[in-house]
Amino acid sequence: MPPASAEAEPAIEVGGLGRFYASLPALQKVGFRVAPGEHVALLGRNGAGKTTLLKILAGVLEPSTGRVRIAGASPSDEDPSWRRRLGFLPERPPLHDDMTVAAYLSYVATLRGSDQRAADRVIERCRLGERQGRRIGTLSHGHRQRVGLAQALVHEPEVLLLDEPAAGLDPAQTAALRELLQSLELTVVLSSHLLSEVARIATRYLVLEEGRLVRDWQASDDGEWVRLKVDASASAPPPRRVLTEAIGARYEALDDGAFRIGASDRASACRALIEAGHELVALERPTDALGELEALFGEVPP
Amino acid sequence: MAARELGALRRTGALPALLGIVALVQGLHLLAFAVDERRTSARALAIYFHHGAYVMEAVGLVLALALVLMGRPAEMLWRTAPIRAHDRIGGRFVAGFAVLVLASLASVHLPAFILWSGHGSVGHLFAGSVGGLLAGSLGLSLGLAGTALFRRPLAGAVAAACVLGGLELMPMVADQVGAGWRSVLTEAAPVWAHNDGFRRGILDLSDAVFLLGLSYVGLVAATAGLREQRWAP
Repeated sequence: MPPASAEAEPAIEVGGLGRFYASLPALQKVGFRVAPGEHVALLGRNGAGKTTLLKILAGVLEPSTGRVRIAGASPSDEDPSWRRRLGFLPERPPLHDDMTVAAYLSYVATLRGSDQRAADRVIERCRLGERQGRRIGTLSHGHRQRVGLAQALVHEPEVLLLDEPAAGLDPAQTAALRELLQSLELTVVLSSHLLSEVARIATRYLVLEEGRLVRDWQASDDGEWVRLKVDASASAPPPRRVLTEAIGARYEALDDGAFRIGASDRASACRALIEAGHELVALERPTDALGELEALFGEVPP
Repeated sequence: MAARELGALRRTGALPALLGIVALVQGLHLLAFAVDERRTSARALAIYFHHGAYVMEAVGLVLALALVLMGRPAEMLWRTAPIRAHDRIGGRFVAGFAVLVLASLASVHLPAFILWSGHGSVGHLFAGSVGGLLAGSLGLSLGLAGTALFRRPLAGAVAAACVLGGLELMPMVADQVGAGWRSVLTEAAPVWAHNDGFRRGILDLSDAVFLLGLSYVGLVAATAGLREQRWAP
């Protein structure tokens, strides 16, 4: 989901944010804006301040300094009605183990000013239909996490905050979660240690280090392209014509005599170029979001 | 919200267990203190409701603690929901009061037994039950206040028990001190004094209003405490 225009009121606006536990700083001078519809990942090693930041955004932790506006309101507002526009999945989902999935989500929907139809919709959306009659206390970790996500979504919020939503999930559950998050047309801020998942869900990355925002990085679309270089044969038609006319590939010339084409066209492009008489000398996939993230954090997960 | 709290007590088995314990304790003190061939039915009922009110106060305290502890795993749900502190406290109080009503009904056969075998009045039974409910609601509201004002719910419940115990014990202290202090302590011993009429089968509206007012003060304190906890890490 592409972010809305820059002129739109930001979904989240944070400035000079600080939080101290006793005299220890957990966050210092953090500031950023998130546009409506953006999917933002909070990254950083343990203790970097991700959870503290999410809790402040969710309005459950008071900042020591700075200002926060989220979904058009300040978390310090006395009137709690703004919370209807916010969904929050903390590290440990706030579940009532004694309730069935359906009863719990129906209850949360009512609590957040929504109705039974909203609960039915979120059960379907989060693929909880088969488990809706089960008590939450009897569910596996993955399904509990899914119910936790459902409670954050049930009232159809404008902003969704997720603290380690994929923690402890198996690959299939992680993929299902990713699919769900990718389909959401709302502002999402999530923290996760799973770089490969984060790279697929988020379009922007905020990196925290010892409570400071050290990097605010927007993912480019480089991952959709591959770079090619050929030793052009004088007798063969130019690569551009081969690629655009013969196979209709996306083609862009690069400065160094190389060119790039759409990643999905690479197999047919290579075949067409070789059949046309060109010698392929280089084929590179430029660094994508995951590559950037891995470079940033090394091999050790943040 | 009250329905959820009540449902949780039922689903976890806490409700039937509590009702059973209340009926057992009420039965035991009935046998131990109230039943005596030499006593009139009215006197036996008064003694039963006298001890029964203490039991209901304790049940109210325990309920407050149980409701708070049961809600803890989903604490974040409340804190991120568009509801105010008084909604939460109100929900817990209504759920707790409903349990107190059930507890009264679960043990109503005990004073009824005195009526059946003696010459007491139904009015006495009714007034005594109302007094028990009011005492229970006071324990409940003070328990909710204690658990909201303290970071550790158990410490809060203990503090509330001390306050309640202090209010109940004041008449005994008053008996031991000089006349000057006696009147002060007696006046400041509202729970015992204002529940005494109910125990003896007298329905006095001013007593009911006083005890309800005291419960309300507890609920206000609980709401204030919960509001303060909003930003707790």
